[in-house]
Amino acid sequence: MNDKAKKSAPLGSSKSGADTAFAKDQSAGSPSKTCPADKAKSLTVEWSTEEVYCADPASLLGKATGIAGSVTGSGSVKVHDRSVATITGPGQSTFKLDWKACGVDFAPLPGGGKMPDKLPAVGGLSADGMSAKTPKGLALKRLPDKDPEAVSFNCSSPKSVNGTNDYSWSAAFKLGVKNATIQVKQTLQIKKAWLGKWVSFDKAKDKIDQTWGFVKKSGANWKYWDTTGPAWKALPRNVSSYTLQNITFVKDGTSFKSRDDGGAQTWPEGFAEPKDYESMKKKWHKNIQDTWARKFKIKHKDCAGAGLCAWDVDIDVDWSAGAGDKLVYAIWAADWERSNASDWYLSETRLGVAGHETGHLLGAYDEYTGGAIHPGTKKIEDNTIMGQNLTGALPRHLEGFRDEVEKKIKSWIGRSWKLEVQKR
Amino acid sequence: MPSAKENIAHTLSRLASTPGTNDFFAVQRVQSAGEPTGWRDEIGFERGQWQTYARNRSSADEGGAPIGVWRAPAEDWRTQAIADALCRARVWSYDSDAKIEPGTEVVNWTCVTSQGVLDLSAASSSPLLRALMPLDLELRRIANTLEESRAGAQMRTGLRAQAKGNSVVLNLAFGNDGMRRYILINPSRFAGSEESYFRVEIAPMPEEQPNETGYGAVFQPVPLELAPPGMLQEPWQDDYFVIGPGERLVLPAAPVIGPLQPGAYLVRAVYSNYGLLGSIAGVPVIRGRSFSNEVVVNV
Repeated sequence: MNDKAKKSAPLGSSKSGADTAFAKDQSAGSPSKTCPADKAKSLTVEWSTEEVYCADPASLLGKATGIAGSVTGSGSVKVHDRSVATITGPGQSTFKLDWKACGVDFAPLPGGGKMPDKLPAVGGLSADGMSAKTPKGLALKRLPDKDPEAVSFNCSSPKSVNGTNDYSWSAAFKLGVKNATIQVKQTLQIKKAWLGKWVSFDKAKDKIDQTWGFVKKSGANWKYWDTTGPAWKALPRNVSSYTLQNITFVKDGTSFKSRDDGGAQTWPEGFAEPKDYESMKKKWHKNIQDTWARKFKIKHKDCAGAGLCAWDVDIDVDWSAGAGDKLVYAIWAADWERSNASDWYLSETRLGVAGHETGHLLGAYDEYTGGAIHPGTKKIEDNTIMGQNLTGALPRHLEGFRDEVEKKIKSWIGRSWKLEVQKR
Repeated sequence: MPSAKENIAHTLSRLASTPGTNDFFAVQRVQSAGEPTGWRDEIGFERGQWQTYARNRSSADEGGAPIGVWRAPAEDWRTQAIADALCRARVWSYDSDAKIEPGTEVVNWTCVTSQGVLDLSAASSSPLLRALMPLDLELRRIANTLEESRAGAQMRTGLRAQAKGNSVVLNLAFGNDGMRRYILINPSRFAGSEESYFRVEIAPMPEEQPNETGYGAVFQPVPLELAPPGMLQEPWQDDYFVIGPGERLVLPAAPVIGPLQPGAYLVRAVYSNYGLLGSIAGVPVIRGRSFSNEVVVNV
């Protein structure tokens, strides 16, 4: 390799591909440099192992002859001629200088931007006026590419903690690695639904011989569905005198059947077709992408080095008419309604709700009073995507996700890394 | 050995037929919806203590329904009526819905007797809601009784709207229909939060199609000048309003909205405070969202 080119190229650069780059960069090794007049002195060095992942130990093992007493050996680790570590230790006939694979940045190969799978680390050892290089480079391996795999885990926030309810939900997405980037794909299956309302009647006060009835607002007034008519009639009392309940419907042919009780109820007439279904999907998607898509990286807690010990996290959420990681209903409602993790109201004016609910589907907890707050930290904070004001996402919102990445890494490469999420 | 549920069933049956003087009985129903800030409707009854009601948001966001907190000494005859409703619903035979996701509208019923605690939760649209209708009806009667007897801090946002040419002149007020004093945070002191505001909203009257449940009114907020700076008198320069029983605090200005296109409109005023301050020296601070009556205006 041309020396000039070698100095200016990023780590891992190669004209012909990752593994080729590694092969070409393997040091041929250098004979120990000794004083020509002193033939009894020699020094060699080699790596204790052939390949390592982030935070794995590797030692420079030196052998020397002709050194009169204990001296300090000085080791170096270079990747593409760039020094990434210096280490020292005592020795005389043998040296053992310990290093932990860390602090090495992978960079894309020129043309196409592919990351090399591994980088060669050349070790050097100097002692008592002699120096030597490892004859073979230590392979620094990055997290290997993995096709996205399904991940699902349960989250819960007990009533004893949040003071409101026993909440539980499932986070679900696909997790993979591509080009030293953690890839998160979440496909939300989306279906249309419609919201109706009903009240139960107080026979003594309402003078209605009907235990309950569907209700709807008509202009500024409320009507109930009189099953004896059948017809919509004025609600006998102010709507606030009743316990008003929601009921969700899905379309079944030309009628609308209740979603959550096996279709036991039928809404007495048609519902309007949502006119903003597609536009809201786009707006929700944009909010989700703006909140989560390329905001975070995940790294080994004790090490640095892009590609080796730290990885960008790309979160990509999209809709699907067919099966997905999670089913979400886009619900038409006559009036403004509030969304929840599974039911997203088309009349919801706060777009941040999309990012908020996606947060739940990635494993984040609520951060507002009375919500499904984290049972451990009990964190409440207004100005976050999980808080009252539905603003920005924070690394702590991906702690559940981080735990799943740790498990995946264990299953992929057998390493038990402690990771942390950071903002990019 | 009978299970806890069997013990509770037995106790409720006794309470429904011949309640002993010393039988302890308390029940609560909490309906909550929405995230992050939503509705909360809470009805409670504790034998020998209080019957209570709290609503933090006008029901169905309309109708001028007051929000606030109410309470009165528990009427003992309700013990039998509520226990009977619990028995008719066979409340002990149900389990809570398996999965209640964050933000889901949920109803939580809790019942405490000397034999233990019964806790049941149902998500929106759950068949449980229909099964427990007898209980809900009894509890709603408590809420209605408390509200009708004005036994609490009962905040209402009042609105009068009058068309004048192609504009609408508004008169706004906060009223206390209850018998208990409350504190209202001065809306001009709100720190610009999305959830805390005082504003007027207007919507074209929705058009209805036959045989179809269609879109309701789509309200849009209207910029509202409370009054030119310096013109506001006490207490409008203070952080808090203290509003006593039967009192009304009128906005010292008559804001005008318009000009509007000719047509029919619905106009409403909304006071919204989702801050965390719940009381000052034991006096309730009104929290939640109060919608005025919806006024039909033809321009």
